[in-house]
Amino acid sequence: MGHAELRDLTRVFGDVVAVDHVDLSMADGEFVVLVGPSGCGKTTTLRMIAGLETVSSGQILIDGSDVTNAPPRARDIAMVFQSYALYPHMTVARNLSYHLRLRRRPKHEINERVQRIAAALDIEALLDRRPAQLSGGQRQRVALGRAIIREPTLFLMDEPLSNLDAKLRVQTRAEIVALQRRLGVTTVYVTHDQTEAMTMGSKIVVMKDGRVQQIDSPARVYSDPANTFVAQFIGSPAMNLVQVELVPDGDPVRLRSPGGWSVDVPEPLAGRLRATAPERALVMGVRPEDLHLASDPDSGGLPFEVVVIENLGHEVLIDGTVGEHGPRAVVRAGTGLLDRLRPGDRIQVRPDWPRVRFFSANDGSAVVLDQHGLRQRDEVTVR
Amino acid sequence: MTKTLTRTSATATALTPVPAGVHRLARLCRAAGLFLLIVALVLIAIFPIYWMLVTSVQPSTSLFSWPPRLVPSDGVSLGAYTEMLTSSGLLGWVGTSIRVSLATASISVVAASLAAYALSRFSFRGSKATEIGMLATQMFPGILLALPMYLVFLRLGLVDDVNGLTLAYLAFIVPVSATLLKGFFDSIPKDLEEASLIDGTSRMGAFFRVTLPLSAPGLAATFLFAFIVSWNEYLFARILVRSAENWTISLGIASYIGEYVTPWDQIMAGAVLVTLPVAAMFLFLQRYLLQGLTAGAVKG
Repeated sequence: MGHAELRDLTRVFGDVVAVDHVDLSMADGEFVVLVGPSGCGKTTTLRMIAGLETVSSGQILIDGSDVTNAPPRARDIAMVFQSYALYPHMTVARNLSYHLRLRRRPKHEINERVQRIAAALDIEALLDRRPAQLSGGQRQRVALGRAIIREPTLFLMDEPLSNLDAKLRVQTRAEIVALQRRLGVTTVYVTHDQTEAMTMGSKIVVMKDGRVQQIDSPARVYSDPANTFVAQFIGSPAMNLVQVELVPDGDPVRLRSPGGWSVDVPEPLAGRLRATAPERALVMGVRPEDLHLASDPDSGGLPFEVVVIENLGHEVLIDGTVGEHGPRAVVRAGTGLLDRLRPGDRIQVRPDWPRVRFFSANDGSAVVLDQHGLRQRDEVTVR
Repeated sequence: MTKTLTRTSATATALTPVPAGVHRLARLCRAAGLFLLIVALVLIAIFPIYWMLVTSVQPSTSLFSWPPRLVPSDGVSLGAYTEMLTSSGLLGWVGTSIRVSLATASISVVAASLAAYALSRFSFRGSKATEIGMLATQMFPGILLALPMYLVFLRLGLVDDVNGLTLAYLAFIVPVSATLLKGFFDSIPKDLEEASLIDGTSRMGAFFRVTLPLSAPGLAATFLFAFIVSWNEYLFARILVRSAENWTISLGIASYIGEYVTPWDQIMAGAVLVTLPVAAMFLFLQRYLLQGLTAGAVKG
């Protein structure tokens, strides 16, 4: 029990549209991550679900009932704040039991539940302390405990990991995911960190300027970004984007760059590209791991000039430009290349064609290639 | 002064190596200088109180002797105290003052905390103007308002009425208290109230269960402020109260100042006696007050 739906949700602050006609449905037990750069409206959306922000237009449904104008306490939700928002004048035990005490649950039940949650989160020794006496990680656990003790319909989390150090963050990330799986409570999680989004979510909602850019599984968001914004926001390093011009009538089908070089497209991709007659401007997108160094200079790759070689230990990131003075691109490669490659080298990189994506050069939206040729991706709402 | 000193010594260090002993000496001198300065300031602050005590235990005549006697030399007499406690109306005045001050302080804390909360948490049409307007009321000298206020109070039948005096004090104190408390509420994170809203309280519930307990230092400071201001007030009491049975202590004590004779020992004995309740309240509330003074200074 715990599905939720946002219908055409909009929030306007003065002249600023913070959240712009957002539609989103969350199935029972789903872990939905709202991700985007700061100011994209993800926190406002979460706060509207919580009832902390009024809705300008649209509807919020939790478990089928319209809660658009209901006060937060009537929504059966629990929220973990970025600042944790623990009550400083109460002990950890009283922080945990606050909701139960407000609901006037019997004392023995409160004690039993506090003990159980404290044991589950390993904070039993802290029950008599006040928030000020806790470390950041401990506060984070208490905040989580205060949310799960309620057994709510919906968990809302607003960047709960952003105040933790890097090591603790990775650890807590896994713990939250495990906890959510065990409890099976539908969760809406807000973050600006694409790694968190990719690793935690079962569904990712990428937002920008108040609008939803894409709603998909992490794998799909990564492999098939809806537009160039998503392509660059998800994944680190970002997807490489190169402006090209399609020359479909030649044989073979070619992609020509304004930088002067061109590349032949192999079948079956070529056939699909050929199916559209007019020459048109495209943006070609390739993930860094889908570019391979070509040993043979005439193997039909893209010209690539090495600028910086970054050794990450387990792999190497080769930062360079496509063509001379062309757009920047990053190639992910094995460490075996280290002694063969030098900054300034001119090499060829061959894209893994089936994994290459194309976007419209006009509005950046993804172009789907099928037997009928080029067509705009239409299942994604980009207003 | 200290800044210049520090800078000079820093430059000296940079230029030539100075033995450690010299540094220690400089530090010691600075500490000693600071200590003497503090002692002097404390003396200046304490002297009137000391003088009040000395005057209260000596006959008035020795007050005007030259050179002034800093230590009572003719022996200590508590006569002025017994005189004030037995044959004057002091106890009655204290009673009136306590009544007025407690009522003013209590009502202003309640009214001001609600006003301050609204100003701190909600933005409504005219909220900024209200805030500025409340401060602006404090810019008028009291004497300017005294006459119009007297006329208004006369119409309302509130002249020579202890409740009328309380109302007059509230009119001045609530805006200041609200401004004070708004500062405290501003320093309490909104998140805490929002967490409480989600945990199951209403707005008011969050205010009473989270915001108010957390602003205890602010409430204590505001209460004390309101109490002391109304305890010490003279001008409006003078104008709004006539009959001796409605006098507050400031009026009562001032009534001892005569055209020909002023019994300074009795006035000072009275002053000592009326300082005591305020001092007692200060001691009682100082725990909260100290927290209040440092609130917001350190992110918590």
